[in-house]
Amino acid sequence: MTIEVAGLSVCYDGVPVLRGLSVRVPTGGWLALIGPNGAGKTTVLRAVAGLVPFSGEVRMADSAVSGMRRRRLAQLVAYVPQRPQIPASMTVTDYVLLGRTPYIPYLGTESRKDLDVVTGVLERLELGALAHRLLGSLSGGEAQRAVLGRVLAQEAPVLLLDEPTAALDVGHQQQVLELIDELRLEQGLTVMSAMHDLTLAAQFAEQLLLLDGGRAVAAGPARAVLTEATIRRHYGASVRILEGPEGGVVVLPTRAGRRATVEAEGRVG
Amino acid sequence: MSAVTGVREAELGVRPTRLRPWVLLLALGCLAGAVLLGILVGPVGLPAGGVVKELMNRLPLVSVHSGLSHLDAAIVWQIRAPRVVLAGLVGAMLAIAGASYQGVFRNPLADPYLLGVAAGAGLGVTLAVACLPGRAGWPADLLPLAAFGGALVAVLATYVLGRSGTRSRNTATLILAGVAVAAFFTAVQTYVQQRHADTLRQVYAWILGSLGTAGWRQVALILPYVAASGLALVFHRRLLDVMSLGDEEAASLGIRAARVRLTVVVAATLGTAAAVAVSGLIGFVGIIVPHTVRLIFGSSYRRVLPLSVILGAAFLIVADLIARTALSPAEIPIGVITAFFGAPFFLLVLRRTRSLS
Repeated sequence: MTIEVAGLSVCYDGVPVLRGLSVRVPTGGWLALIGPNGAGKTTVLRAVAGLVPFSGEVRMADSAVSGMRRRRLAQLVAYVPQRPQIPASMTVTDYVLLGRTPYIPYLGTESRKDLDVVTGVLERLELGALAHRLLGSLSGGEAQRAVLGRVLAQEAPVLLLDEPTAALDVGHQQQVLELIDELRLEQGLTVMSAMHDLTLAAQFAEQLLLLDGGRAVAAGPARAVLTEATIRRHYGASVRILEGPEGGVVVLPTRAGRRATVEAEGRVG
Repeated sequence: MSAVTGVREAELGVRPTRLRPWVLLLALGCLAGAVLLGILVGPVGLPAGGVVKELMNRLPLVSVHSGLSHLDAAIVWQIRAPRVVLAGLVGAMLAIAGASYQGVFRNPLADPYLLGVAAGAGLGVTLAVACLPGRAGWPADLLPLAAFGGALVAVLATYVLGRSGTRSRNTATLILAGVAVAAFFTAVQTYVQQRHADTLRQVYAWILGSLGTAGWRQVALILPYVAASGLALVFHRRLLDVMSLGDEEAASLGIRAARVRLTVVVAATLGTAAAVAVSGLIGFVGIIVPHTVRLIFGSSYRRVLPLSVILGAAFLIVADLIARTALSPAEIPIGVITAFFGAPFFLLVLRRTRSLS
């Protein structure tokens, strides 16, 4: 499902945090939102998910989000905040089943179909063995898989993920992102994710959108967006852009000042 | 392993948390035991067999001779039975209201009292007693209405104060706001009482809480409130599980969290105010019962809400039994009994939730 954002502006308590953002993500695409802290990445996701009031337009496959009923929107868009609430004493099955909420009547209970979807999701994410474990007893990687399970059970064609790997070690970061990518290709999902790790963003997303101060400052494939000058300017970071062994882009933070000091000390010694 | 067996195995494994029939039966068994005990035991020794026969005699299509005298039958039917039923209704209401508050505020220690229901209802009753002396001639008893109005105002004040300032509602802020509102309402209540000293006894008799004057009239008075409120809350059990994800994630799942919270708070407050209006202030039931249910049966509201209703009723019936028999023929206020067991339990829950976070 195509996401089209045009002239998106958001204010929190009168302070503008997004100013006139426009971007288009084609069906089955993956757009990574990058940018320094406070650039507005999360706000973009929250606006597209219909969770904050905005001006401008957000369209999903030609229908505007603003006029949509919340329940209908929830059937189209699944959103995971940076730190999802993980109720410690809830079982994995119950948690994944919460993803079916947009399909269950307001005061009703789940149908056979909802349970079948949950079954399929648990199977797909290899969560079967954890189905009756409490969320509080899971490791970080397992919990993140449970969250993905809930998102998949929502059967929404659009996934909005805020820092999906923030709390994970490098191995689990890769596993989770690979899983998202597999699911995206398998089910034709359109993914929009905020990401801090620029190398991972370059490896997984097809398009990058660099935000700074609530404005889009660069957009396009990783090689075009991630340049040493751009990153110095918007992150205030000193990095080297290297060619990855598989042809991707690697963003390597450097410590120029420190290296000079060490070399100088070496000469003295 | 073929895909088909894989699905079958998983299918057998997919069991969302629901209220299992045997658990429900067990809880109903507890309630039946409490009811029977409550009717059998009292200051006047009545033959157990006769009492049971007398009760059965009231069932449709059953006619047995109980062998009880006219007076004994009246004790069973006009004194003990309404008292047990009223205790059950009040206990069920306080327990499910506490559980629901804990769910919508995502705070294990929330209950209508902590958020000012008690103080609000107290002020409402005081104002009604002080300012409307000619109540006897009114067509309906105004006290439950006054208690309800006061309770609703207090909870709304707590809610508004607790949310202002920070965008996301901090549960500690909410409890503190509840404390402030309760203190303020109590101050106003004390002032009104000072100005109308003649109302003191009537108001305090109500505040101390007792089921001693219970009759079928009181039962009829609160039954519609408790039934409507309890039913509304039980219907929200699945939504309360969704609410445990917080407002934003609930919204992303298509649920308007603010609306659910408002509905649940109004229902729980309505029912609690009605219960409080006939029973006075009985503390801790809304904390003890839901948390005991959680400890034993897990924290899904699909279990917590229905079981809180049943076990809350059983708990208060037993507490009332202790209240009227421990120092017989004198009565201990029932609030003393629930607080005596509730306060230590409250601390236990506090310690447990702290170690979890």
